[in-house]
Amino acid sequence: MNRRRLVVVAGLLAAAELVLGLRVVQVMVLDHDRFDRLARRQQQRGLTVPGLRGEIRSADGYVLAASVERVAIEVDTQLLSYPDLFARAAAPIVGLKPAAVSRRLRGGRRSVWLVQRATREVGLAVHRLAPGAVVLVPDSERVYPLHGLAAPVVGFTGREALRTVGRAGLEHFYDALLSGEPSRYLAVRDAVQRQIRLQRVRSGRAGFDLELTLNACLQAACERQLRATVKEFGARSASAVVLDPNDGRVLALASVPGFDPGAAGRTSPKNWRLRPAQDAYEPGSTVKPLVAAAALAAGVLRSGERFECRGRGITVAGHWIRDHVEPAEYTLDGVIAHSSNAGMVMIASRLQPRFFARTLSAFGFGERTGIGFPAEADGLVPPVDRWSQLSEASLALGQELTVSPLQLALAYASIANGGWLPRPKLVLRATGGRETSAMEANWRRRVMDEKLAARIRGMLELVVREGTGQEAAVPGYRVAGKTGTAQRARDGGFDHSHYVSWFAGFLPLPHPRAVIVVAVVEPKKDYWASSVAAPCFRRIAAATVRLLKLPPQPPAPQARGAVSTREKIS
Amino acid sequence: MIELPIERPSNQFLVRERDHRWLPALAATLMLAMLLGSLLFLVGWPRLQATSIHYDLIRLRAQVEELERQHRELEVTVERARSPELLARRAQRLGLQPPDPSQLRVVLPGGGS
Repeated sequence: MNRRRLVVVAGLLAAAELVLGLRVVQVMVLDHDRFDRLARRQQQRGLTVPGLRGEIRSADGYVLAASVERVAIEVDTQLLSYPDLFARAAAPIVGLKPAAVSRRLRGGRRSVWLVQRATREVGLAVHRLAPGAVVLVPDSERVYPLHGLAAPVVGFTGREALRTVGRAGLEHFYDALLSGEPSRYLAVRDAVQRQIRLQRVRSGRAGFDLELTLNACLQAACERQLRATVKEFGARSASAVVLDPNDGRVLALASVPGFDPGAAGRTSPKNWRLRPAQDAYEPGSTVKPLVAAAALAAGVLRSGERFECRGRGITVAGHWIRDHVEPAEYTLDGVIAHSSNAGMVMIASRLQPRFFARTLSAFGFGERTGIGFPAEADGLVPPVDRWSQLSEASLALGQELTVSPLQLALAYASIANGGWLPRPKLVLRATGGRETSAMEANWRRRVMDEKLAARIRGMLELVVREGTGQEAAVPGYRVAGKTGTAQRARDGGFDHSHYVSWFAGFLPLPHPRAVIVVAVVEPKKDYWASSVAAPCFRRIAAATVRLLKLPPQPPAPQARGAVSTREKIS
Repeated sequence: MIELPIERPSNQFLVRERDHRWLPALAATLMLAMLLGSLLFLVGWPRLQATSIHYDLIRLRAQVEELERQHRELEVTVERARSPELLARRAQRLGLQPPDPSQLRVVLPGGGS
């Protein structure tokens, strides 16, 4: 009897053990992956923390944008014993109202971001309040130490969870380069879901730094002068470009009014625009030297030829085009120096329309410069088959087409450097660790020969010496340039209340080192380029020679037996 | 109770002699112990040191990270302080202004101008 009982009990135990053994095999072998997954989900949580975003520096070493380490404070609401008490204690530390903190904690979610981009000290202070429930997650903040300086160039960033993403300007255009690679963290939790530790499982990499060609001091001077001009003349906006004609490096790219990239949301999106590259306006008389170059290249002008500009205007296709020069006969140099509309219309009328259009395209009008900036304006050059009878005259006077200040600066750079249209460079190089990727420099094309470029330079120097651009003269330096007062196209026509005042020029001759273009949009008190844009150009040019340490030049040699550029007609 | 006379053993005839085998045995034991000790030392000490250095390294890495963080913060502070716009405003407040280009004199290496 006893033996039978023993056999029964042993059999039952063996059966139970077999069941247990089979279950163990099922859990540990057959369903291993599923249980492993469940355990991991319960105990571990992956966290991706973006790499520190790269810096943006100016050529003279100023930091325009940088990233600093911060922490994001995450709270596990289920592990908070006294949420209201915690809210009252944490609120003054993180700079929020206790009610706001309470609202966040009682939102119904277990894991709540109390605050992001907090300093480490703030994070530690909050962590001390509830060490079991507060987790500090590595975070970063984008800072702009120079505030609004070159803000439209640099742009600004936004946030997507813990990730900082470029929203405008170079921050947007070079987002992939600046972003770096994220670090991967593992948050390990215990059975009651308390976070035990944050373990880095993969180290990320900081983003590449961008070194710009901009000179921060020159940029600051440009912005200062533009602000003063906008204020003085009640203008809507103003742009300035300073570039080196010898290699296309952009030294300053100013757009006023601007914004503070640290608080971009507080400014109108209109001010986020980099106007010198993203806006295009009618260039007015600043295109006259280019038309003159086309006429000289086409050989349609006789040596010493004079153009009769006595009528205070000229009629083209039934339209009266007004002239503001003193009635006289002008040479080509005189037409440019005094900006005679009638003389320029006469010259342009001798050009074949297709050749004229090709000339404008050759100088880069109507196509993007390739500066490497989002939403760059390509300007407008109407195709020849859509020209009206008035178009040739209008184009010669810088109407019916639009160009960006940057495009105009590059066209003038080709005159300054002997005929090569440069490719603009805004980003000098991207560096990070040992890797370096240099942005290559090159020319886009040759647009005129050296002799023709020298001839145009001479005309432009005359503009500043005795023509409409005398206000642009910088004492001690030989300056060349051209004024331009353009009417803006509004509602399908031109009116007399919306103007753009231009001055485009370069210095010091005979070997220019800086091309400067100033565009003042819709000035109210005065609109003539000679009194609005030219003085602004002079002040920017003065800052340029000072900051680039350009030595003063001896005065220009006067050609023996120089002929007058105009002959008064009695 | 009757007490029977018992002959107890006596060791009066035993001669105490020194055991001369203990020395080699002791020596061998000590040698073995020293060998084992040396082995343990040779294996254990570097491991102990490695662990200690590893902890030092972790501490130093954390220190480096912290110092780099502080450096970045300070760099931003310096950049804010040397902002060209800020300096220009302060200089203007002190009555300073940029020189006119005509006031510039270039000093050549030879001493002329």
